[in-house]
Amino acid sequence: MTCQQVRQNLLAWVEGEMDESQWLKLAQHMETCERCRAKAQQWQRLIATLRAIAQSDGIPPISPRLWHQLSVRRRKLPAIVSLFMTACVAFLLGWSVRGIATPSDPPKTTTVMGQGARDEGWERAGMQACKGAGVQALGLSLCAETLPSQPSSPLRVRSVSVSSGNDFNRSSPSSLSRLRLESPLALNGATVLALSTWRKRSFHLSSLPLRFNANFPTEEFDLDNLRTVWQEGSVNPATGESGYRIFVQVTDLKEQVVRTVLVDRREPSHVVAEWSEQRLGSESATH
Amino acid sequence: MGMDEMELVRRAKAGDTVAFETLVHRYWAKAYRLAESIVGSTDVEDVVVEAFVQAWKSLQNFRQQSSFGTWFFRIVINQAKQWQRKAASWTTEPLEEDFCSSDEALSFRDIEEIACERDWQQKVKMAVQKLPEHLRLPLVLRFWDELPYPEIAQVLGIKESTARMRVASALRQLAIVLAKLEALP
Repeated sequence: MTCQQVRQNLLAWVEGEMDESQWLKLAQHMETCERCRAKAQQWQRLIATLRAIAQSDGIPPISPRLWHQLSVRRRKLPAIVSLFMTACVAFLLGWSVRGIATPSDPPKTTTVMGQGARDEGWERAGMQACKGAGVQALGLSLCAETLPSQPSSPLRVRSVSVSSGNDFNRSSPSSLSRLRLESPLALNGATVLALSTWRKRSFHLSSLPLRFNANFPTEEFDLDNLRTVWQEGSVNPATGESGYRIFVQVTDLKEQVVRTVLVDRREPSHVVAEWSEQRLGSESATH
Repeated sequence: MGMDEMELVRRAKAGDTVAFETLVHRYWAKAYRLAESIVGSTDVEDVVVEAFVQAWKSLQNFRQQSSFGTWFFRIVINQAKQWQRKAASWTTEPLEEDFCSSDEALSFRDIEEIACERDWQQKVKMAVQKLPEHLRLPLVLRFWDELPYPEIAQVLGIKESTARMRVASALRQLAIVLAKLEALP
């Protein structure tokens, strides 16, 4: 074997990837050729150093930002949810007009576990709506409705427990929750919440301005992805757009959990923010 | 690796965040070194975070015809290169093409810079960093990420023989540079 042939096969030699016959030929050459032997030793040392670098410290721990960002992902909802959301947005807009035309006192804020009055528009849409309902924990007003598949099922309204997002496990959907959402059955008891800013730290239903103002716990929404929630008014002066957000809550009666998603207002078929879970019958969120 | 990893991927695809978290733990350091070899010491964390987020988002597109590592390292490289392109708009470093076009040894300026580093491992690391990208990436994937040559070839979209040649070429360059450094007083 010549020096040139040895150099051509040097990588296989130092990595121990050579078959026995070739290895023997090369080994014989190495015994007699000092230059090739030195070269091989040099490469071996270099590879050992490279591997040692890979084993050495210097890699920072996994960034908490990663867990946070993983929890703020976009997921596309199935078509049926998309349709449902579109109908809900239409309902909210219609309700807003009605609310302004016939103002009334806001309902007492309590956790709602019942059905609302029927609304003709929703009947046409095959849905049932409540005129107003409150969530005790957050002092929010909201609209809730159920799908026609189970018109008699109770509305299950829970606080909007948007996770802080620091813990991937607790704020991301489990396989179960995602499967549930993708299943039409999961929509039984689905709840739509439209939250809007009137002034900083104060929220109300966009469809019922002023009447349902309530202080909102700031830490619940202190999230990067929700920063646009913190507008100084219900209309963003820069864009002229109203600053409300739409959430969907799905109550899974079988699993006894409530799941919450923030939906892209402009594209209601997309989920843009946190998912959270809360055990029914328990005041504390599971996240 | 093997079945265990495939199972993790399968579960992660089904939405199991714990399974994906395990993959993150398994690949964080490897992804970090790979990204670092492309973007340098700054912004590495951002690149790696973005790569994992991207991987999670597009996990449904992963058909598991290759290993998770092969698929994921491609994402890391893409993210790092995107980052590099952004950085190139404001950086004053010479363009990659300046020394990427040939396999010639590093410039005197590079060697001088490396020689200033006291620690031997740091010298080697810096020398790796100075290699042209087409040699640096196969080397990093081989010895830092411990990928077999067929997988290196898959990640980089090159032939296996080319991957071997490039690793050998990278070692040759490093050996020359480091020999010069050792010869320095």
